[in-house]
Amino acid sequence: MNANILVLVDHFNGALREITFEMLGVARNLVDTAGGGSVQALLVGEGTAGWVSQLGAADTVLLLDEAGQELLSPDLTLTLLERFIEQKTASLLMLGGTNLTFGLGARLAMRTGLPLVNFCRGVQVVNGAIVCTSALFGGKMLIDVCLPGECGILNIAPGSFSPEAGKVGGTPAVREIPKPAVEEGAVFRRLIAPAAGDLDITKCEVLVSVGRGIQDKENLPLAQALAEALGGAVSASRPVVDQGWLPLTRQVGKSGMTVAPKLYLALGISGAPEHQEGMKDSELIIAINTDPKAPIFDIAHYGATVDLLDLMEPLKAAVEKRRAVAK
Amino acid sequence: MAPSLAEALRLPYLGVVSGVSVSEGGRKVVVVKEFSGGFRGEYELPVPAVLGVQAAEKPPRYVPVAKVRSAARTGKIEIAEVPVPFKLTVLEVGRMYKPKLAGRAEMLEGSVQDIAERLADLLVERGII
Ligand SMILES: Cc1cc2nc3c(=O)[nH]c(=O)nc-3n(C[C@H](O)[C@H](O)[C@H](O)COP(=O)(O)OP(=O)(O)OC[C@H]3O[C@@H](n4cnc5c(N)ncnc54)[C@H](O)[C@@H]3O)c2cc1C
Repeated sequence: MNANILVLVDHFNGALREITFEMLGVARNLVDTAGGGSVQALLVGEGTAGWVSQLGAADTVLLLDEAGQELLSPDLTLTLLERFIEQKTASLLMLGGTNLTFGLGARLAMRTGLPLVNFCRGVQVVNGAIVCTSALFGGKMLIDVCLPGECGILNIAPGSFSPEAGKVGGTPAVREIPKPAVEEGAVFRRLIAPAAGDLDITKCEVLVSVGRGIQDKENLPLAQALAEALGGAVSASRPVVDQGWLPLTRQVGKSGMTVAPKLYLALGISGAPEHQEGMKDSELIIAINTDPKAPIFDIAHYGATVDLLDLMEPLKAAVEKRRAVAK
Repeated sequence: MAPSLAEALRLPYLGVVSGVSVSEGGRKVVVVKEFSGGFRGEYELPVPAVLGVQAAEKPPRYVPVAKVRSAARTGKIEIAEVPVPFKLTVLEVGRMYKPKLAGRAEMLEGSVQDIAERLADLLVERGII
């Protein structure tokens, strides 16, 4: 069996992203277990040629490092990928399930007729066939699907594989590719940086993070007071930011910040995959949620199924008592 | 759904969109797309186009399941044959199952007061306070 895999190198704002190494690691492993095939990495973007030496898990890097070109231009990437499938450069595509490449897989599947596996969390060779595991309903169910003829498009869910396996230095062969003519649909104009001035939650050692369970903006000062007692700051899940109760700079998750504090106290957060993506590496995760089945408890170290509104005041008092004793 | 629809209609597409404004007298739209780390990107698209909207100023509320059930009881479903406008490759489904939990939180029991005290002790043990 041959696995001819093309990995789209995911990078943003001048840096390679961990998902790239997750994909390279799993692709390399797949080719090695399949006993044949190759791993190619598609690297698109101005000034990216310098990263080739970090992509040693690939056999070949297909490089488009032309001035003015950005991975941010989805139509260019789509045209390139479609061409590689037509030319049979690869039969299995791996895309990172990030906001950047969101939708590419589905569009490509429509154009090429290849099957698409979304939220892919596992890939293995079983009885000579490639079997992928996809997460459904926000990760509440898993489904195993078999790729017909080792062909398909995989949207790899970030955090599903070890990035270390793909962090191999080396000198893969480089094939420079010409810029194709693209019928541009969405034209990238500019990058908007997060508003300056607010504190940087990625640098906080303690985060008291509030979710929809906080219910009302009026309840935020209680979380703020608890965060102060703990020597930390308040962060939030997406719905709290969408309501305008806290600025985007406080959002943790896929579209927000990635944090890894010493303590992440999740209050009324269900633990959707997009939220977990931004906080799962925190040193100590404590979750308070009235629903014992909330997925946040799957990654938390400690949990309690009490009402967060009842807990915040007593917890603040208990923390202050310990601090007073320590003085 | 949105990207597949865009392809079926052969229209431009952008997803994870959190802002739209009309430009060039309605011939184009300027669209804001979310990235990670609080970054956003500004794009311009000709219309008609398909946008996958990520967040809205007034987020839609989900319809309660009870309402869906009652609509399903009273509503009529008409079935019409339509030609499939694109190639479809069917994936062979093996099995569907609940994920095995990698680890489960140690759950603290007792009154709110007990839990608050236990958590505070834990934070002392861990050197956090
Ligand atoms: C492309 C994309 C990007 C996304 N990016 C992000 C992101 O960056 N960050 C993010 O967070 N989400 C993101 N999301 C949204 C994500 O899928 C979830 O919808 C979101 O994380 C849910 O937030 P939540 O847990 O606060 O709300 P819910 O899922 O509604 O959970 C609220 C929880 O509070 C509990 N609760 C209610 N009342 C109480 C109470 N009184 N006491 C204790 N517990 C209570 C409930 O049991 C429930 O579990 C993104 C989604 C997409 C599709």
